[in-house]
Parts: sequence; C-alpha cells; structure tokens
Amino acid sequence: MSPQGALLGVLWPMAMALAALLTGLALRRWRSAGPAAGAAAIAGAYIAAELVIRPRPPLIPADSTRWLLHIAIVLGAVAIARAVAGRTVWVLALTGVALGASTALVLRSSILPHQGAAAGTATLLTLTLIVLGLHLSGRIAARGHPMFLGPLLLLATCAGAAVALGQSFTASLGQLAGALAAALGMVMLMTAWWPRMGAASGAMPLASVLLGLILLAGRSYSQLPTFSAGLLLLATIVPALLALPGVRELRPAQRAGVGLAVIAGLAAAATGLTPMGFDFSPSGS
Amino acid sequence: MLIRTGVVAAALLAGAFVVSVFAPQAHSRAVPQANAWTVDSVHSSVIFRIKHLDAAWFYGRFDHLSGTINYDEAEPSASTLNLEVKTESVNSGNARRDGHLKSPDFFNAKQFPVSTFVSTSFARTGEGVYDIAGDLTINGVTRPVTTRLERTGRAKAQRGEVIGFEAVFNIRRSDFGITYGPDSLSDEVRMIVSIEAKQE
Repeated sequence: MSPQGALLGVLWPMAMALAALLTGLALRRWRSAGPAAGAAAIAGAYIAAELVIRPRPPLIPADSTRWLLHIAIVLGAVAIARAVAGRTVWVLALTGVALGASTALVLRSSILPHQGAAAGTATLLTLTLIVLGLHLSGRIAARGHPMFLGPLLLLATCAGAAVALGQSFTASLGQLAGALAAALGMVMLMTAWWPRMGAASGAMPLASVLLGLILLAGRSYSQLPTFSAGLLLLATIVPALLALPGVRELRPAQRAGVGLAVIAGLAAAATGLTPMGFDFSPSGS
Repeated sequence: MLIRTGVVAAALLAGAFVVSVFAPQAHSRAVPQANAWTVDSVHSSVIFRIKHLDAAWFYGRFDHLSGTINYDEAEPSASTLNLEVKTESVNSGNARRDGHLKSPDFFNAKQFPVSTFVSTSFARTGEGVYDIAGDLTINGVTRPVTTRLERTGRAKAQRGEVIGFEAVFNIRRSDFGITYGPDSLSDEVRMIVSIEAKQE
C-alpha cells in the first residue's frame, strides 16, 4: 500500500463520518438525529474504508474477513433503527440476531470446520457473548462519560489495534481499525463542539463491535496472537470500566488520563508481544 | 427487563445457529484418481513471478505441490491433470514476508489451505505439447485458465518410471481477489509449474 493509498484509506472514512455528522447536526431538531448520525458516521466510514482498501467483495464472500463489509452495513442499519425507534423489544431482538450472525459469519471458517458441533457451538456462543459485551460496553461508556471522552478512549484503542494488526502482517485489517479511529476522531470533535447532539451514543456501540470483529478476524486468519487480541479486547472495554460507580466520580480530565494510560499500556503490551506469538515454522511443514 | 434479556439471548442463539448451519464452507479438495501418475512433491516446483515497484521481477515459490495425472499418450483428450498446492508452503525467502503472504492480504492460508487446478480439456498440439484448460482455484475463487503444457521428459528410474511436464502461464491476481499493494506489485503474475510424476 502506497502512502497515497494509506492516506485515502483514512481521508475517505473521515469525510464520510463528517458528512453523516453534519447531516445529523442539520436535523438536530429531531431528537434521534444525533445518535443516528453517530451510528451512520461509524458505518459510513467503515464502508468507505473497506471500498478504498480492499476490492468490493462478492455478495456471498468466500473469505470470512470480507463479510465485515456486509456486517458494517447491517449493524449500521440496525444501530440507526435503534436510535430512531428506541429500545423496543423488536429492535433489541434485531440487534441480538445481527450480533450473533455477525460473529458466526466472521468466525465460520475458523471454528466451525475445525471443531465438533458441541465445541464449535460453545466457542461460537462464548465469542458471541464477548461481542455482545463489547456492544454493551460501548453503550455504558457513551452514557457514563462527557460525550467526547468515550470516543477519545476508543479512538486510542483503535489506534493501538491498528498498529498490532499491522505488526501481525494483516495490513488491511490494521487499516480498517485505523479508519475506525479516524471516524471516532470526527465523532469526538463533533461531540466536543456540540455535546447535546449525542452522537457518541450511536457511534460507540457500533465502533466497539466492529473493532472486536476485526480483532477476532485478525486472531483467526492472520498471526495476531491470542494474548494480543485479548489485551486489545480488554482495552476496548476500558471506557466502560471507567464509567462504573467509584471511578466515574473522578473528574473528566482524570478519567481521560487514567483511561489513556491504561489503554496505552494494554496496546503497547499487545503490540510489543505480537512478534513473540508469530508462527515462523518452516514453510510447508 | 427479564423479557427483553430473554429476547436478546434467544435472538443471539438463533442468529448464530442459522449462520453456522447454513453458511457455505469454502474448502475444496481435488479428489485423487486411481491408476494415475502421482506428482512427486520433492521433485516438482511451483514458482511465481511478480513485478515489484514496476522495476524488478520478484520470484517466489510454493514448497508443496501434489496431485495426479491421468496421461493417455495415445488419446490425449482422455488425459486429466489435478494439482494441489499448500498455500501455507509459500516461500519468498523471508520469514516476515511469508507471514504477510499467508495473511488475508494475499493467500489467506488459514481459510484457504490449498489452491487447486483441475483440468477440463487436454488437446495435443504437437509432439509432447498440449493445450490444457482447467479451473484454477485460489482463495476460494475459481477461474478458467488455459495454458500450454510441455512434456519435458520421461525416464525409467530405480523407483519406477517418471515423467515430466512444464506449464508457464499468466494470471491476474485481482481475478482471485488478491489486490493488496496495487502501487507496488503488478497485477499480472507469471506461474511456472514443473511437475515430476511417478507411475503407480
């Protein structure tokens, strides 16, 4: 990937996120516009990044990592529906189905052919619950902090994940994580400027889930070691942990400092330890 | 609240189950045929050539080629050729680069452990020279290819009779969804396949 190509992989997502957020700002009289715009910003940025970084996949991709584009479209639509319709039972059910199906689609080539039915189902359910946990952590973080703080902390995690994925030889997945960071940067700036917009509450759950799925794909199909993926998944829920009672009483600047330090530590450990997990066994052995 | 939690949990289970049951799996394997010449992995080669930075040719190889040939010299159209390359065996002479080549950016070795060629027609065009068409599958994408196959020799060795073939053909890697690095790596890749097979 040339520097120009890498730059486009960031600029296009930023432009898409900005366009979605400005649309939300223009429609601010409508109460759901902010959260819907936040979700649209993340989904639009991710879709733009996919189309710039990788070729357009077929309708039914053979490569499980290529389902991420479809997943971003569907989860983006579901997140917008949730922002508009609120927490109705049907929207919650749709969210659950979409998260479960997304996890299964990303992992189907990794788990299902190599494990028995019982073990495969158990692994799939465990990872689906982790993805659901990421979704919930995004919601908790968006509610529990001043609006700009959640995106800032998640942005730091995405940046760390981008470096770790690049180190594990999956440049394209690393670039996709970088595109999420760029989109979260736009959400952060917009919410710092217009806190009442509420864009973070739509953006954070979707960005957390997409980052989690990227990390699972990197762990499953590239050489991202399990412990590095685990540390980065832990970093993804740090914003939610900082919103828990006992910690959230800290001033925002203190929370930002603690959160960034913890995330930087986890991301540095994940990146630094990544080469130790590589499989450099002789080819074909 | 309890109802909502139950609905979400049931929906998660349903979504994961439906996808795991109905999602197509993308693994294919060439089926060995009986009474065939068997490709000798140790004495066969698969080499690829790609242009780097539009400046120099770079050569890499796959270290593991297997397969079968049904070679009917009297009636070449009845002949068949099935080959299988382990994508994990890609070897560019640099372990870190091999790691990248095995990743989803290139050969996606964990998802697609083998690339295959299955012949669909075999026509003689000269003495020991054939036009062979077939389906080449890389990264789960199958494309038809046609190439000239030359019989390079035949000998009686201590371990039995052996025969050799070579094919040189070009593919576009983008046809197989491999588009990483379009500014630094050419789309066109030359494949050089040299086969030594022993008679069963």
